[in-house]
Amino acid sequence: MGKILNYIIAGLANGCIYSLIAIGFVLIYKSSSILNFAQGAIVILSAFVFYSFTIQLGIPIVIAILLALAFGALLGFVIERFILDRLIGQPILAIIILTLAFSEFLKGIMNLGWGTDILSAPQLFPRGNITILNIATLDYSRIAFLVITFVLISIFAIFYNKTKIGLAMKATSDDTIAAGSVGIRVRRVFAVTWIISCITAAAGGILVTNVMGIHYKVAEIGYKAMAVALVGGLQSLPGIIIIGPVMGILEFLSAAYLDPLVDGGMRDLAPFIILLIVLIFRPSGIFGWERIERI
Amino acid sequence: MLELVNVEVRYHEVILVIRGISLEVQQGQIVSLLGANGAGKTTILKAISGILHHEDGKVSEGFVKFEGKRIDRLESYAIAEAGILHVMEGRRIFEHLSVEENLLTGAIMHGNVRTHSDLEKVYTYFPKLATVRKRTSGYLSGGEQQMVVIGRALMGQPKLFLLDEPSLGLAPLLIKEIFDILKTINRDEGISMLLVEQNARIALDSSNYGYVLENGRIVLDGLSDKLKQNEDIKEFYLGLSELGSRRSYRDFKHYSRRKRWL
Repeated sequence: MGKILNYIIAGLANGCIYSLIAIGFVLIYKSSSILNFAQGAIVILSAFVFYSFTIQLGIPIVIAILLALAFGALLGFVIERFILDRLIGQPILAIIILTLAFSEFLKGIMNLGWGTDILSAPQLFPRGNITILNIATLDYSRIAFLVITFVLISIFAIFYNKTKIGLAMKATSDDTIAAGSVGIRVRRVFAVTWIISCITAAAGGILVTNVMGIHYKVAEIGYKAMAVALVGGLQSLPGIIIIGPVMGILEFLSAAYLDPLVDGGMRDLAPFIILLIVLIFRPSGIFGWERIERI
Repeated sequence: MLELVNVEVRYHEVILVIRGISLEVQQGQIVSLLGANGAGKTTILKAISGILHHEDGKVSEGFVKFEGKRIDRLESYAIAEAGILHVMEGRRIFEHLSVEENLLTGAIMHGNVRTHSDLEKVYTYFPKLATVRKRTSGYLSGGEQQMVVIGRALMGQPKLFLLDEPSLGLAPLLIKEIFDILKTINRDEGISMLLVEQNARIALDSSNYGYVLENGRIVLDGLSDKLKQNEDIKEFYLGLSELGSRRSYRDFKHYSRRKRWL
């Protein structure tokens, strides 16, 4: 019993990070129908930058976190302004392939800059764990994950639903041209979208590498987050916030209980099996938009 | 206040859609633009509001002037900020947003100052919208959606409305209601309007001046009351022959007379 609870809570903590990273996918997809394959690479690149700030340059952790987030923001701005800018009016597929290429490019940079060893990230949270009611033990970092992602997602939700920029983002994602015609600066909205996506990616990177270590292969977490975004529905922010933790839990449970039967590997496979099943029955995702049709 | 001088519009640098059009909208006027499908009416509005740039189109000759300044190279948001609000064809609402959110998007560009009173103003012009303000606008009826779009443009503190077929797909009673409100807005707010319509009758009834467009050229223009008396307008746009009487098919020739303007 206690074991199951442990898996569930560990899955929940991981899943929250998927949600955090998937926010980036959804925002970018909503505003410009681009599926950003580079998201995973941005996650890990930010973690590498964070590593350099702390371990190599010796900057205090709190400042280094802020700097790493700022790096994410800058990266988002640069991608939007200097790369996508040249592709306005080109087919969406070309832009999606470009993000795939950009992802490989970033991985190359990471290999060159930081090598291929698994680096261990600076300790963010004290080691140790607490036991709840004698049935589940939780280490501090998992609890911290839960709290931090909850806070970040709440901040984002307030920003998205209560501010004018949030409203402008929503309007742009519905109809770009109509948004321009009511005076919304669509290019600025795109830039803000990319900046926010890259900040959430950087935050996810700093958190996830704290338990997984920093290595360019960890970029594959981007694909898991993409599975979360697709299952939740690419246009639905509430969808991915719900699906992320669910996916995390299913991943950990299948790893625990199916691995002995199939000789391992279920942890990496589970999200994609779920994705396939969902796509067969609900191609637009569980919470995705189906086009509004008046009858 | 709005002036088009010898404007020529090309798509993809080659396809000539508008050939040398000059027209003018004066302060407080409602000007209608009539013409058959494909005559270039919508393109003219897009050229004014800057939406043309999104469709790889360009004003290749002549210029568009608003309050003395050239605007044909500006981005659409800058033109909206200058006070020209384009109410696009086909009710382009933000369908996943609620009615009130839709209206608020119109006020984003001007900051917070007048948002609340403007919102109240829209609800007084369109009392129907006040009753559905929390509803997802994609599920509204066509008439309500048209009201949302006009209300949204009204939130942007406009000086000039570009209205593209506000009557499209609406029931006659609703068309009348919307045009009555538009006339009230024109009178009370002093907002000038450039109106594109297929429904020539209601367009000429509501406007002060009219232009007739065919194949990308203006072929006729004049005061709306004068245009209504014009024999060709009566036959081709109002569907009348002799004063007010409908024609019987019995008298009709087997081929329809086709007017050549130039």
